[in-house]
Amino acid sequence: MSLVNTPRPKIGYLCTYVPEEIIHAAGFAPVRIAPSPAPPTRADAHLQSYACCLARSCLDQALAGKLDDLAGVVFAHTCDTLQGLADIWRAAFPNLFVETVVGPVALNGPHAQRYLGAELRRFAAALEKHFDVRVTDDALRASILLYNARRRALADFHARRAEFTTVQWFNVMNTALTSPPEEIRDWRLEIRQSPISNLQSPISNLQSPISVVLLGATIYEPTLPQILDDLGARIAADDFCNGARYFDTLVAEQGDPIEAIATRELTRATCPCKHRALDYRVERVLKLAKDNRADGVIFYHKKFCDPHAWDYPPLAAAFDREKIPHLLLEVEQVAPVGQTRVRVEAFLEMLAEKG
Amino acid sequence: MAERRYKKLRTAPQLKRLLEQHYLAAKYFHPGKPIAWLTSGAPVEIIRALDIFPVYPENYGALCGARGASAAMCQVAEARGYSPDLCAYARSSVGMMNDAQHAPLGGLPRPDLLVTCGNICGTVLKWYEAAARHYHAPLFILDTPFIHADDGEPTAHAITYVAAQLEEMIAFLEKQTRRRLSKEKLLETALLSSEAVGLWREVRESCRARPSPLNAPDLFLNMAPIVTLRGTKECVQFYRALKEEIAARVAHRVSALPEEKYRLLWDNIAIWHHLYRFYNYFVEYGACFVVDTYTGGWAMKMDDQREPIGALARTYTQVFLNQGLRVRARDMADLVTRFDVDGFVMHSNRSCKPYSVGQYDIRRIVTEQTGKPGLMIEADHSDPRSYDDEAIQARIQTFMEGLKERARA
Repeated sequence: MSLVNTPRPKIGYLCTYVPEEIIHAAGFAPVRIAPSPAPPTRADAHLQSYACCLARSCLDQALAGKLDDLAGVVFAHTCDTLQGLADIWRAAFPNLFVETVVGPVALNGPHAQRYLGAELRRFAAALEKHFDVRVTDDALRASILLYNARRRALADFHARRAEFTTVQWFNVMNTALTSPPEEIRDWRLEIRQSPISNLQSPISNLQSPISVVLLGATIYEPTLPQILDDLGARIAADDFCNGARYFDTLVAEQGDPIEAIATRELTRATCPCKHRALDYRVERVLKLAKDNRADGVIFYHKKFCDPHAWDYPPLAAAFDREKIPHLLLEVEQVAPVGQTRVRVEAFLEMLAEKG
Repeated sequence: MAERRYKKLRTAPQLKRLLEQHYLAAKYFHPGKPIAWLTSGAPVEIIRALDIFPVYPENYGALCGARGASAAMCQVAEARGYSPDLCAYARSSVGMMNDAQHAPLGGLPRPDLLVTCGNICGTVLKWYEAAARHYHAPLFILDTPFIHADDGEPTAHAITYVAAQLEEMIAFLEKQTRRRLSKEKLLETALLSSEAVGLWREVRESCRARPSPLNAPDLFLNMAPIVTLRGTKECVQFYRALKEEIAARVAHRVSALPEEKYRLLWDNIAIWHHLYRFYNYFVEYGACFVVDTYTGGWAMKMDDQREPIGALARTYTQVFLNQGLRVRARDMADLVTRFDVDGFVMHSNRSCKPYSVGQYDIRRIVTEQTGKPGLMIEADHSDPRSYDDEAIQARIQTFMEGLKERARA
C-alpha cells in the first residue's frame, strides 16, 4: 500500500467502526485498506463473484503480497460479507494478527454501551497479548486527542468544500485515511495556510448552480468526482464511510477513554448495517439534502453491497416525497467512465432544467 | 413424476396436515393471539409462552420457492427498487407485502409485532425494518454477537448482553400484549422445544445407518415443524412418530433410495425451486444425501432449567450460522466422518452470503482433513432465475464420475 511513512508498525482495517484510537494507543498506525482498481484474481479462490468488490479487491491485494507490511488486520462486525472475509483472511494468514471487534448491531438498546465497552476491552487485551504491549488509559487519551484533531481538520475542510473541486475533496479524504494521524495535523494547517487559488480547479465550483448529495458505502476511485468536476457540479454533502461519516462525531476527551470510544460508535452517523431507530438514517440523509439545499442526490452503490441496497427503496421513497430528484449508479469495481458520464450528465441536465 | 423415486414416509400426511393447520390458523383462526413475524433463529419459546402466534416469513420464502412463485414475487419487490442481488426469501416477502393477492396462500397474515434475531444473517435486520415500515408494526431486534472464536464459545459479555436483551424482549412483548410472562410456561415451552429438537437430532443421527433411511429432500421437508412449531406438543408428537417410522426403516434396512451406492453430505439451504429434480440427478447415480449442515441448525439445549433465560441466551447465540469458518469446517469434517460419506456438495447460495462466503475455504479444509472431495454448485435457495440446469448437470456428472473412479481405485 502506498502509505505515508510512519515509524510505527501498521495495522490495516476496512471499516470506520474499527476503533483506531485503541490500535494507535497500542503503538500501531491504523491504516485503511483501500481496494485497488485492478480486477481481483487470487481472491477468486476464496470469494464468490457475488461478494462485493471491496472484499474481493482488499483480499486480493493481501494474497498478492501487497499488504505484507501490515502487522495485522482488524475487522468490525458490519455486513455478512465482511464477517466471512475476516475468517477467510485469518485462514489465509494464520500468523497474522486478525481480529474482529464484534460491536452491537442495535445501537439504541439499553445494554449496547455496556456490551461494546466490554468488547473494546477484549480487543485491547487481544492486542496486548499478541504484541506484548500495554494499552494504557493515558495512551488512549493521547490517541483520542490525535484522532479528534484529525476529525476536526476533516470537518473544517468539509465545511469549506465549496472552495474545492470534487476531485480535491476525494483526494483529501482518501489520503487522510491512509496516513498516520500525526501528519494530518500538519496537513490541516497546510489547508488553512494554502492560498485557495492553488487548490481550485479551472472550474469555479462556487459559481456552479448544481449541487448534489453523494450516498454510498465507500468511494475509492475518482471517476465520479472527476465527472462531476467536468460537468461543473459540486458536492453539497456526502454520507460515505470514507467521507463525512468518518468525522461527524468526536470522542469525548474526558472520562473513561474506552467508554468514550464506545459512546462515539453508538452515536455517530450510522452505517446501514446498524440500527439506531427505524427511520434514523432516512431522516438524517434527508436532512443532509435539505439543509445543504442540494438539487439532487446520487446513490453511488457497489454491486452486492446488501445493506446499502436495502436502504435504497426507503431513501428513494423519502426523496420522492420531498421531490428531490435522485439517480442510482451501481458499480462493480470501477465505474465505467463513458456510461457513468452519460447518466450523470442527463441527470444534471434534468436538475438544471428543474432549477 | 420425479417424486416417485422417493419412498414416501407414512408420516407425510401428518406433516402436511400440521403445516396446513399452522398456516390456516395463522391466517384465519388464532383467537385472542396477536401475530408476530419472527426469524427462524429467534427465541420462539418466549413468544409461545406469551400466547403470541408465531409466523415465519423465511419458511414462507421457502414455500414460494417450492411452489414456483418466487420469481414473480421477487419481481414485485424489484419493481419497487429492491436489488435482485438481495436474498430471495426477503424479496419474495417484500413482494408478498405489496401484492398479497397474487402471493401463495394469499400472503401471510399482517403482523402485530416483529421480532428479528441477527444470529442467522444481517439481512433479517433490513428485511424486518422493511416490514416494520410497511405494516407500521413495532420491531424488536435481538442482537446476538457473532462468534469468531475457534472454540465456538461466545464471550461472557456477549452472553450477558443477549440475556439482558431477552429480559428486555420479554418486557417489550408484555407491554405490546398487555400480558405477563409466566416463568413456568416459558420453562414448559422451552422443554417442549428441547424435546422436539432432541427427537429431530435422533432422526438425523439415524441416517448414519447404511443404507440411509432418508435423503436430502426428506430432511428438508421434515425440518419444517422444527422451525415453525418448535415449543408445541404437536411438534413433539410429530417427531415421535417420525422417529418411530425411521427406526423401523433402519431396523428393516429400508433405504431412502432404490439403491444407495454413494453417501453424500449437503451444505447450505435447499434449492427449493428444483427440490426433487435437482436431487434426482444424484439419485440416478445412487447417491444419497445422508446428512446436511442445515437441518440440524436448530438447537435448544435446556442445560440449566433453573435459568431458562441464560439457556436461551447461550442456545441462540451459538447457532451454527453465528459461528466462524473454523468451527463450521470442524463441524462439517465431523459430519463427513461420522456419517461416513464419500463426498460433499456445497450450494453456493447467492441469496445467503453468511452461509456461502467462506465455503471455498471450508471445502479446502474439509477435504484436507477427511480426504473427501467437495463439489460447488452455484444457485439460489428460492429464485430460479439464476439456476443454470445444464451447467449444474455437467458439474454433477463430472463429480459423480470422479467418485466412481475413486470407488474403483
